[in-house]
Amino acid sequence: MKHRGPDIDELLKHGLPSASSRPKEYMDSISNRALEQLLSKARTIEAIDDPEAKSGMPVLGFLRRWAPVLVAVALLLAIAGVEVWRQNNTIAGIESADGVPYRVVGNTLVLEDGSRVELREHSEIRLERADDGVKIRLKKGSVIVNAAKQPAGHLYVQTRDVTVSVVGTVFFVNAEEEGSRVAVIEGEVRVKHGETESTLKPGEQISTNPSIPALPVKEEVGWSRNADAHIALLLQSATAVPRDAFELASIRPTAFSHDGGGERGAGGNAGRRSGRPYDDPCTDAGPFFLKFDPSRVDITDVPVYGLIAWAQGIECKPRYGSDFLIGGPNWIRTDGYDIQANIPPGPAAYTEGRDFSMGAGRTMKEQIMTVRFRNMLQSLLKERFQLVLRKEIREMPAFVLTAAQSGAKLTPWKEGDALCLGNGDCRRTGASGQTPENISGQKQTMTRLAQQLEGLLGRTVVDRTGITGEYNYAVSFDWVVNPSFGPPRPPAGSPREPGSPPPSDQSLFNALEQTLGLRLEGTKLPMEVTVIERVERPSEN
Amino acid sequence: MIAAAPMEETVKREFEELFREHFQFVYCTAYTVTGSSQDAEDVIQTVFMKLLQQHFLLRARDNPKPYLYRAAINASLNIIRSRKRLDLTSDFDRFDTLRGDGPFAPGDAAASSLVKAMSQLNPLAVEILVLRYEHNYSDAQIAKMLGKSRGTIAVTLYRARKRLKRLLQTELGDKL
Repeated sequence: MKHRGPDIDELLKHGLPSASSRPKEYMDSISNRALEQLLSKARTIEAIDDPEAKSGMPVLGFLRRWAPVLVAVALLLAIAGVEVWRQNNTIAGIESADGVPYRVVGNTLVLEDGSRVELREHSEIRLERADDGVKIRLKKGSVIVNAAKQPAGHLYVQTRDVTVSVVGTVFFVNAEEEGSRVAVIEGEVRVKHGETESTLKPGEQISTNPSIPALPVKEEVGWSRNADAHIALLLQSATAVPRDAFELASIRPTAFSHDGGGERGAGGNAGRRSGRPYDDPCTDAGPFFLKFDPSRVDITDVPVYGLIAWAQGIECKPRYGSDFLIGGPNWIRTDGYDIQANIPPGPAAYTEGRDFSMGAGRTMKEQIMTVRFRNMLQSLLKERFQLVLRKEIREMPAFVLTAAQSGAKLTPWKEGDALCLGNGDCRRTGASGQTPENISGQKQTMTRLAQQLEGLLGRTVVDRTGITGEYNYAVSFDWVVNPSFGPPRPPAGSPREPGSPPPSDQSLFNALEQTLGLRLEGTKLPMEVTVIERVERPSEN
Repeated sequence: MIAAAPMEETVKREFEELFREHFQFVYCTAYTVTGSSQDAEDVIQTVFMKLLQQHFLLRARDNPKPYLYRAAINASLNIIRSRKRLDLTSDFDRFDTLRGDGPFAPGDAAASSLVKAMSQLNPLAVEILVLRYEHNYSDAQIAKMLGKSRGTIAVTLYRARKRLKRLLQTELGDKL
């Protein structure tokens, strides 16, 4: 006989899911939670009737019209608590995690601290608690954040690849598949991308992908209902920031230019009194190029590229693998300028450093430019050279220094150990030195070793050893030949410097691992680069 | 907390009373149709928020139960239909409160198919089936609740069971 199983009536009686037999306590807890959520949402929607929304900023009225539909749509779709805003065919999504409260005024979210987040259509955000504030995760689209003063924490905006932290400011963030852009309207923000952290000021912006076209901040915020107010604020911020500037500045092409004869190219200095090689756009801020008197500064034979690097505090490495200042015409790298400028009264434009050798036993105090002087240079470059810069995050070649799997084999420095190198260089705080075939240090940190390797390899070296303390080390290796700079390998059998360690056949990488137990590996890391968008020959004096 | 003006106290109190009175009825209805606690809670939010939004719909003021019931059924069906591609059978462990007195253990294919088949019926049929089998209403009570004649209820119930049986036979074959 065929087994027919239970009939449909039986199935309906016993097979339907039922919650009716659940304990009262269980049902009460669900009921209380649901009621709390409902009342909280009701307050959110109620904020549409906020008087500020009616008379203050030019808010959208759409939420008022659509609120019932929106909530229904949001809940019916049941997208894990995502609230959906709909206006015509445009949708923006908000998800509040960890109970972060917010209310809605037009197309703007108002957080509990008063910060306002304006969403562009088709944008999606998620609100989360951070350790010291609130984090807005921008999944896609654009937001303009007017961050309230954060008394004891930060407001964060995080995209897939950057984190922006603020304590009170107005800024714009855009997140796309290809990368993110951040622009500042007022105040200052810190942008963290991987291990790179940048600070942006009003009118400045940064993008994590060079292929994302950069728009002026004015255009970036053009979609906002408050675009006019943001632009006015931007102009106001730009003019309100007191800018340091020289009282009077004379700019002339260096008299001993590369057209004046002598060797050209190949490092020839064409008889310059500064001694700067013709094809070297970088000059250190030493006495050959920069002298303070102190109410006046004398800059000699510095190319515009070098001036920009000074002004921005960028390490000048155009011929290294890691070039952090890019773009602009070729003349800014070759043509030197002499600049004499008067420094207005105020805080010092420089500080005095250690003794600097002038040769023939003469020394003078090193002069180190201050932030105020850098600001003056920035003003000069902007006004006289029409300089426009843009910041970007790019993947740059770099090396990472780590402890080898077998463990580091470092000798800690101890009291009584020498503070001098074999070449007689002695410092109270320890000494370090490197040549293309050896690196040595007495009482040095791993950070310093990374800097030494950076100088040798011409590429950023990041210390990820996690090793603290001070050490003594001496490593010999086969001559490091850098095609871009550095001395060429001497012919075999050439006489060696007296006191230099014996030569080695090992590569730098093997020598580091075998002698010190440290690994040096090539990689690419996201780093901030500054792009020269516009620069012109200097205007008349 | 957020700096929004407080809800008018009387409205809030009135709403809370209404919510507490009808919560269990709406929740159980939604749970029976969707088979999921999470979905049932979503239905609660949808139904009551809509009520709150429209400041207690005129038609719901005097006799909210039929309105809430219909809204719960519709919201539940919408949820189920919006995840058409979801294989309920594989998600059947969520059905944690199947009747313990019946022959169907949690995870039973017949019971899971039943929920799926219910979503293919028209809303009135589902309303009637849930009132009959979850809330144990008689035909007369169902007729009163839904504002239909007893005849309509009986015919709809008969047709709904017939359709369900057909759907389940297609789904389960000889197992039924």
